[in-house]
Amino acid sequence: MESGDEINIGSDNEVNDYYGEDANNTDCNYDSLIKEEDSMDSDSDSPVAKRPRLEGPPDRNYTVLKQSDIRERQENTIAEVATVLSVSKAVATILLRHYNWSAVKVHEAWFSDEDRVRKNLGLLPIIEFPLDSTEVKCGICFDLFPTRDEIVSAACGHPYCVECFRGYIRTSINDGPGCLMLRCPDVSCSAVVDRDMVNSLVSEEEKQKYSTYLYRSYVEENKKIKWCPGPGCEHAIEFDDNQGWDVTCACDFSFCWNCVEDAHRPVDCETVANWMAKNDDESETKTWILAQTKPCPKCAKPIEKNEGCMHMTCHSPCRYQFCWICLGDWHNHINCNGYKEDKRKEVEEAKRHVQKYNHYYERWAAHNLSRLKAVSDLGRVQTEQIEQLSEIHGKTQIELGFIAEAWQQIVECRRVLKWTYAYGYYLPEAEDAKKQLFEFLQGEAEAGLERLHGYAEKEVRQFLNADERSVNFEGFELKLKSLTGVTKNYFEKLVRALENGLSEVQEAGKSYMEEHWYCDRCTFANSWENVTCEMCHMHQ
Amino acid sequence: MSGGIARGRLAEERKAWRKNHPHGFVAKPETLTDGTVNLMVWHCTIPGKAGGLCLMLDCGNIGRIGNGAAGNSRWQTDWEGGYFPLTLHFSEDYPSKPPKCKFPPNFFHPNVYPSGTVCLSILNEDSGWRPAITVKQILVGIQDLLDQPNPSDPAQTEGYHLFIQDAAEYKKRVRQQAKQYPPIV
Repeated sequence: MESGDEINIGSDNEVNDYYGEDANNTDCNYDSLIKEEDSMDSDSDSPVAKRPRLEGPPDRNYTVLKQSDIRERQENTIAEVATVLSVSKAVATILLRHYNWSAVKVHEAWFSDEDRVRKNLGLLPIIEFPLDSTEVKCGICFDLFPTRDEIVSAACGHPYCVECFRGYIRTSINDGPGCLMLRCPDVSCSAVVDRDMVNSLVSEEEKQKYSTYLYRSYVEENKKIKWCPGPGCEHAIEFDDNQGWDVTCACDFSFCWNCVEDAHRPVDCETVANWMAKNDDESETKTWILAQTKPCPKCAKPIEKNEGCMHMTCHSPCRYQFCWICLGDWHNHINCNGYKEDKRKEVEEAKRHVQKYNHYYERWAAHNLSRLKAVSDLGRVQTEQIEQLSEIHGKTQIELGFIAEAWQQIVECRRVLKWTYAYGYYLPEAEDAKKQLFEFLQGEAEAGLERLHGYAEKEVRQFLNADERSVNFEGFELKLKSLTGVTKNYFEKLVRALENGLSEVQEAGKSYMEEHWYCDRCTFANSWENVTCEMCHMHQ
Repeated sequence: MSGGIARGRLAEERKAWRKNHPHGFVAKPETLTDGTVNLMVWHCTIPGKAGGLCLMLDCGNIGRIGNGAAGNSRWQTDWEGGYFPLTLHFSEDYPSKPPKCKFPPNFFHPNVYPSGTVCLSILNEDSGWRPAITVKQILVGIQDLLDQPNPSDPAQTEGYHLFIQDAAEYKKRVRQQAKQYPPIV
């Protein structure tokens, strides 16, 4: 199946990379290649669900990995390293974990200085503990053991009784993923306690826990793979460096691979982080309260004043009377004029900020809600509407795919529009030309989307309620398809323009400013060649 | 988790200590009013270091070995002459988990919490602790820590700030504290 292929494209690349790095070892890799082929077969009966992506480059630069894919890759990589380095799988696992699960890096480090790697990771040569003493003392319980049968050790040979060592491993497993790097219980000893040793000592349940930590480490310590943050989703996404961070998981959740927020093209991760932080705290509200209210000089309750005279009377039970401007007691008040302008300006400024933020936030939130609604509508379209329409109008469900496509486009456009409001909020106010162009583009985009959304939502009803095939259905199909196409094109252009920071404006604006001088009297833009103004003949 | 071995191990620790322990150190399980011995709490004394070569434990301390080593095998530390009381509290999880080691409250040292609890990597159950660490190793480790604080892991404001900003005042305070804990005759 399609998706099965994709997964193997990923792993094939890895193998190819590896061959490129180290061509001498081809014979060792023979069986890993065969395994890759096997995996292709086994994959075909468990395909990864895939939806066409509407935004961004048509060739995907990422791969969705299911649990089984992750396990399989992990095992293949471990097997590969174990074969090439002739070490046990447990040792290969330790090496891979240290080098972020990159077989290439393990090979590089190992073949350039094996001793150093062994020393760093505590992969010591096995030392037999001297046997001449008849009794061995466990380093944990300090009990004496007459035979070596009850004594276990890591490669270093430090002797511990089976019970104590088991307890040591258990405690570590129950403490969390740190158990994956367990060392000998002796303080100055770096000898590693590997998976084989863990498995030989602990119960099934603990083995299971250990193996879960190991499984997770494959994703969490891998620089190229991240878990899908979608609710309840257990897939992971492998990213190949390429343009655009937005990815869509098989669970339909779209997110930015870089910052793991919701997908946010065309806005960059930093802006998103700022925007989300802004939404989280009420900093704007606080600024507003500070700017807009004053504490009563007696009871300190914040008081807002929006009109009327300066004679204030605080609420019961305080009833304190004071001048709003100087906060002095009203009874002795004569006047307090002068120096009010500064304060007023501050208030105006803070008010303006809040209004601006509210404007953008409202729209950001509205598109977000609308998008969520569209997502659920899309679900309904796919499960109910298409089936219904297919019965009434005698079309196959594949032929009716254009309706779902329209809805997918709506979902995507709502997402883009939502983020354009964060973009707009952070657009520097001084860059007026940019702002104008941005608002024009955004306005057009919004209008276009509303047209498509309205059409998809309302127009379809007459065909759903029809008793028999309608001649108008062809027209509906044609129009919806073309609306989808037009909107898609427009949004792609919008995204590109915003991602380039509306660079056309900057260049045009700059060059125009540079090539002209503005007349002081009539403001006409004259070319530098003119010494006097072309309009009013004023000197430059 | 290695349930139930705490007392057995502590009894063995006690035996080993009586056979042989470093000079000047005291380590004794608590004796309750009814005369019984509580192995889970040990009262110890750590002598301030007399100078000489430092034993380095793997705890990230910045050594000051260089200062006195030039041609001079023994130098005075500011802690010398003090005999500092330390209590070890063992849990039932010992030796899977480390004991809690406490000086008197408000003990002056960058790596001692205001409660008196010692902050040392080998005593941290999440990182440095290993079940094979003995009471002797703990006490020697803490003795080393006294004279070689670890500025990257401060546990109290006063000791840390003086150590970083005002070496003379820090020295003074340490010497004062050493006088506060004279040898028990």
